[in-house]
Amino acid sequence: MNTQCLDDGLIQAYADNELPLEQAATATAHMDACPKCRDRLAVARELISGVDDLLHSYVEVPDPHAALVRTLQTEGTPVAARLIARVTEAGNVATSARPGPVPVGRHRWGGPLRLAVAGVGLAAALVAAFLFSTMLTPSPGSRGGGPSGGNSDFLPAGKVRHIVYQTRSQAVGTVTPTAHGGSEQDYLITTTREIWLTAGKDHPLMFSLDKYSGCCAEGWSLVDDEGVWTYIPPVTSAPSVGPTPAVRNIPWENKVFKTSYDPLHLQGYLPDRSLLDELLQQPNATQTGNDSVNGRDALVVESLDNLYRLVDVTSGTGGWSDPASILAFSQWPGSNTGYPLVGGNKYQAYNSLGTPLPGPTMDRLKLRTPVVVVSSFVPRGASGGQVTGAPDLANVTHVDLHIWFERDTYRVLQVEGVYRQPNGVTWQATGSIVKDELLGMSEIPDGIFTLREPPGASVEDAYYVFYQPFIPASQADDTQPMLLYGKR
Amino acid sequence: MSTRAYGDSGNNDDRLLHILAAGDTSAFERLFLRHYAPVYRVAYGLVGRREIAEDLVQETFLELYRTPPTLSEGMSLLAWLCRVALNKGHNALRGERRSQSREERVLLQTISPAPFDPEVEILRSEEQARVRDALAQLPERQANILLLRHAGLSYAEVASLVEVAPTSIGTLLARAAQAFREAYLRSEHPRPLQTHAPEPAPHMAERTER
Repeated sequence: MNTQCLDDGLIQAYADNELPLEQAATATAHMDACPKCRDRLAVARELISGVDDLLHSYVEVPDPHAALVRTLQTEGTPVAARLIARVTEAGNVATSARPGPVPVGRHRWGGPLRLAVAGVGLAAALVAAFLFSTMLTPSPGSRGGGPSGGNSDFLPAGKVRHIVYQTRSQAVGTVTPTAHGGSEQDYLITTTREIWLTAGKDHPLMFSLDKYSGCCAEGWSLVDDEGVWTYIPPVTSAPSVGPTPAVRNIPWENKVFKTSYDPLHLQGYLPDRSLLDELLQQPNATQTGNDSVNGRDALVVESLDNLYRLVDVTSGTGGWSDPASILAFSQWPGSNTGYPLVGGNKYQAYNSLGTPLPGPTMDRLKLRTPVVVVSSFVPRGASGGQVTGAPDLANVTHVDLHIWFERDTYRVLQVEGVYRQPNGVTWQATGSIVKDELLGMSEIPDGIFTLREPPGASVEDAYYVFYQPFIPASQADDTQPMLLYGKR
Repeated sequence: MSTRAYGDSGNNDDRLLHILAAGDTSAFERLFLRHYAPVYRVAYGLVGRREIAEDLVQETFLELYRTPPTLSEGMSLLAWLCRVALNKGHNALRGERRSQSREERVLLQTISPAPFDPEVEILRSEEQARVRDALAQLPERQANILLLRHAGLSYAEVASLVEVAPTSIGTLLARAAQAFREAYLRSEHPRPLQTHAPEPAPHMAERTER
């Protein structure tokens, strides 16, 4: 008998049945006579078993059939398409989305839109969010540019610029809402965002307020000298119009989130040419001509087929992408709603420090994988489930965009999005600036640039994460890091 | 990890690989379905986020689809897939590290994607967060060894991928397991490692304000 005790590596290999037969026999003989090594073997087995159990329970493996289809879709070749057809036919695989979360829309800065969305209608609000984000999200080239607080043509000293954006979202096609207790009007959502901007000491000040047609909740954002405040109101009652969301009990209700100031908070509201430039870098984007919007000369750019499929992200993340290029990605705590941003836009993600909310998925843009948010909702009056033929962003496969840029300033004046589903249902939304005026201070509501904490609302510190700018696929660097700003 | 979790399908893999290389993509389906779970486990264990893991695995299998490998002696297809996934995952993580400290990364991973399904209100369990943290605290090689072994790779395959002698794997694996255990126990309110009772599934919980 070998009297020398076994080392840890041998015991581990013995426990794992990885020793050659002869060596295993020797080890067995030793342990038969050595209680100490037997105990060590038991400890090793227990340890590795515990680790294995933990790792096993840690990972929930997604449905491989659906993953196979997604992978083949990414490949995009005719051969892959045939294989998809075969796999799908054989396995009845869902190709668009996993059954899953209902998104809660969200303002890209963590605030008003999301809550209002919860009170209105998810699909509609997602479209509205899309339009708002498209119109208002700052573009990468603009970082550091624009008015900083002093005079400019856009924000002259002593004046307040008052802008009203309005979106109108409606399903078209084969929607039959009346069969489900609603009316066609239920699928028409009008959303309004009022914005007041003025030059501040170091940077512009801003107050914005979102209003949803018939909705109970209003949210707002304030940029003052201290930072950025975002209020998420409570949803106190069911919306009077729009599909009833299956979402309640949002834990961000009635809170004001404070973050530090970053120019990106405002640059989406300010004139900026880089959005146009970068949009035109998209392979499917072209300048189609000239037009006018409310009397303003505009360049029109169309960007077709921005999305080619939707994938539900059950981990609470979402994003939009394009097979050829990274469009954008978004993720919100508590929300599965993402914001598709036209190429060139930066994305701002919000998170609340001190609260274990979902953080930024910082690799997303680097991975160039098509992922888009799922939206599903229940029409008002229905007890639940999906309505056949109803607008359902979960099944949107393509989005066509038309964007009107102001000729003089390159501001986005109008965005029109058409969301197409394979079943023929189309969800259409248009957003545009319906008012843009320069006012004197005396013409605006008192204290509009002053923080007013809503009754009962708590204030929490938070931070923003700014994602990288759009990177064309041809230039994408998978190792390029995200940028992290403003962390408390 | 005392048994191979996903079985040894090497010979059959070789045949399917040959078919795939000859242009018959139906073999890809079988290979994908056979190996998706273990490769996903490795990817997820590395990055700790579902959507990223899915991306990594997708890219890994696309590489297989586009360029079926010629496997060297002793290298199984699963080992090859795991190596590709690990390389892609580490590249992604390295990029991330350039812009943030490890502490930030751990923080972000800790607070990152807690899934919130408004309908079913699923929270990522604290257990999962602890496991993720524990893995994140391990040196890269130790984490790789644990994940690869957990994916069902043999000692020889693990050794090949982490570039050590096969005879060292037992020792390295024992150390990795111990380090993982200690990291896990350092986390708050640890649940003792249970080895004789099945692990409960990640708990479902009402989402509450924290």
